[in-house]
Amino acid sequence: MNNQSDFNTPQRQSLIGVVVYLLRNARVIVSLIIVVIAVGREDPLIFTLMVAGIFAAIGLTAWISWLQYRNFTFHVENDELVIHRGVLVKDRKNIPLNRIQSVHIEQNIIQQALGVVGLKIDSAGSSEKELEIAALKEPVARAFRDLLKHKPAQSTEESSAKQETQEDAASRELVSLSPVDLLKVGLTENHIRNGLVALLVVYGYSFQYYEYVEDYLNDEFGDYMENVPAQLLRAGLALVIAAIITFIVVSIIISLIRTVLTFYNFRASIQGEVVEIRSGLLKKNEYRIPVKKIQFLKWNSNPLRKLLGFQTVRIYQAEPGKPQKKKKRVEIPACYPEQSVQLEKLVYDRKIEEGFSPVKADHLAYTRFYTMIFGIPVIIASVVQYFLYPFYWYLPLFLLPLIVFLAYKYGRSIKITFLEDLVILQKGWIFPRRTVLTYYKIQAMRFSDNVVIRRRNLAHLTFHTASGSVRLRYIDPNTVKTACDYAIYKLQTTRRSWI
Amino acid sequence: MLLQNIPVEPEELPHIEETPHQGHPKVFRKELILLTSIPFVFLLAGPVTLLILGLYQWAAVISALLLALYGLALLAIYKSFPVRAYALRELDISYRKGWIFYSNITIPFARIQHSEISQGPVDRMFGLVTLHIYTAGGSSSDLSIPGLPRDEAQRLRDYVARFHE
Repeated sequence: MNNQSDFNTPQRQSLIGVVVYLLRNARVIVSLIIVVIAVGREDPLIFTLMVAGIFAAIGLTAWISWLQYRNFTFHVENDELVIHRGVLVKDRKNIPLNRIQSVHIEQNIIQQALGVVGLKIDSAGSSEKELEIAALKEPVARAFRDLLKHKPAQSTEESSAKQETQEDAASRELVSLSPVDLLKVGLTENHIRNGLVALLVVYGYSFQYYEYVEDYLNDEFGDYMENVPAQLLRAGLALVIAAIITFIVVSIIISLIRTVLTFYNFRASIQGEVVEIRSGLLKKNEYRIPVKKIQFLKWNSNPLRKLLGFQTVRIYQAEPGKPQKKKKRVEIPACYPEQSVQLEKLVYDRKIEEGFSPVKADHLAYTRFYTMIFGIPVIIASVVQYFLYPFYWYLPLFLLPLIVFLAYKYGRSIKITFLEDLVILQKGWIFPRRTVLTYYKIQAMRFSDNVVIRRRNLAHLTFHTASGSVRLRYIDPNTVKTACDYAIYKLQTTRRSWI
Repeated sequence: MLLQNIPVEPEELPHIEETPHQGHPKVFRKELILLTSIPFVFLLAGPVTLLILGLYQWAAVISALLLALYGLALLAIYKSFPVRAYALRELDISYRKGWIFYSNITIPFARIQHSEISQGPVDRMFGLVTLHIYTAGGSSSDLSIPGLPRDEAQRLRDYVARFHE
C-alpha cells in the first residue's frame, strides 16, 4: 500500500472535522434564532435575554463539536474495526471486518467546501444504522476503504497482490452522461411526482414554524385574509388553471435542478466484478457494488423517454437484516439499449429476449381494484363538495371514466414471462416497468389469496428476494402454484449462491 | 450417453400444495382463543364506563358491536385452524395459514440465515413454543410457526439447521 497512514493505532479524523460537526450542530441554533425572533420581537427584555442565550448556545455547540471531534477515533485491531466516540456517554464499537457489508465515500456540500469526504460503513447484524466517519482527507478515506473491503483471512501479501490485479483490471465504462444527456433526463423526469414531493417537503419544513407564520400573517394581513375565500371562489376556474400551469412549470424546473444535482458528471463503469457509480454536483456520491450483491434490476420508462430511446435502470442490492429500512436506491438515469444489454450480460449472464408467451393477470380484477381505490375518494369528494360549496360539485365525477380507463389499461399491461433461468415481470401502461429476477436469487415464494378473490378463482404470487419483494396480483391460482413449484425447483437445482 | 438431461415439465414438478401438511395440536386453538379474548376483556371497559355514566343505549350499541367483532374473531380462529399447517420436504419448508387472508410461503433450507425457538408467557401456560426462521429477505419473508410442542419444534430446528452454518 502506498499510503503512509497507519490504521492499526487509533486515528483521529482530519482536523476540519471540527468545522463539519460545528456546521451540523448549527442547524439547532438556526431554529433557535427563528423562534427567538418570532417570540421575543415585542418585549425588549426577553429579546436581550434570549440573544444572550443564543450566544451561550453557540459557545456550547462549539465546545461540543470540539469534543465530538476529539473523542472520535477509529482503527483496525484484530480484524475488527474499532470506533471510539461520544461526548457525555463514551462508547466503543467493535465491528468484525467480515461483517462489513459496504463502504461508501460521500461528500455533501459542507464537506466539499472544506475539502474532506465522509465514509459510511454499513454492517450486517448491528441494529444501529450505518456508521459514519464525517471528515477524512480523500486519499486517507480511499486507503481506509480498501483496507476495510479486504477479507481479514487473507495474508497481507496475498491481499495486496490481489488488490493490485483488481486495480489493474480494465475499467470498462458503461454509461457516462454528457450535459446534453443530463438535459434529456431532466426534461423527461416524472414532473408531477417531483412537483408533489417538493410541495410536501416545503410544507413539512414550513410546518415547524407554522404557528409563528400564522401569527405573523394574522397580524399583518388579518383583514385581507378574511375576504380571501370569497375572492377565491369568484376567481374560480381561471385560478385553478393558473395554479396548474404554475405547478407544471415549477415542477419541470425542480426536475431539472434535481437531475443536475444528483446526476452531474454521472459515470458508471464495470471493474472486474464490481459496478462503480459516481455522480453528484454538490453532494458527490460514489458507490461500489459487487455484481454478486445485485439481486435484480428494474427498468423504468415513460412516453417521453421511450421517444428518446432510453430507460432508467434501478439496481437492487442485498441489504441483509434490514431490507425494509430506507432502500439505498442506486440508479442509472439513462440507459440506451446497447448499455442495457451490457448490464444484462453482467447481472444475468446473457442478453434478455422477450416475446415468449407471457402469463397475463386478470385485467378486470385490476380494473375493479383501482376503480375502487381511486373512484370512491372521488365520489366522496363530490358529495362533500355538494353539501359544503355546491359550485362545480360534479367536476370530480368527470375523473371517473378516466380512472376506469387507466385502471383497465394498467391491468392489461401486466405480463409475466417464465424463462429457463429468469422471470420477466412487466407492469404499467404510461409508466412501463420491467423487473427481471433470476431464480437463484429468490429467498422464498408465496401463494396468497383472500375470500373475495378466491370466489373469483384468482390468487397473488409473491417473489421474496434479499432486496425486497415483488408481488403480482390476480392470477389464475393454478398458474401461481406452478410458478411457486417451478421457481423452487429451479432454485434448488441451481448450485449458485444468492450473494 | 453419460450425461442425461431430461426435460422437465412444470406440471410434473413436486407440488407444494399437495405435500401432506402437519397441523397444530388442538391445545393451540385454546391458546389462540385466549389470546384473542384478552384484548376484548380490556375493551369491555368502554361499555362499562358508558353504563356508569348512564348512557344505557350507547352501552348497548357498543356491547353489541364488540360481541359481533368477538364472534367474527372466534369464527376466524375456528375456520383458519385446520388451514394452519406446515409441510417439510427434503429441501424446503412451507407454512400455510389464514381463512380470510390465506397465504402459503415456501422457504428453501439453502436460504435460511438462522432459526430460533421462543416461548412467551401464554405459550408457557399451554406448553407450546414458536419456531422462527429467518431469511435474508427480511421480515416479509421470515417465517414464524407458532403453537408447536417443544420437542417437535426442536426436531424441526435441528433438521433445518443442518443446512446452514
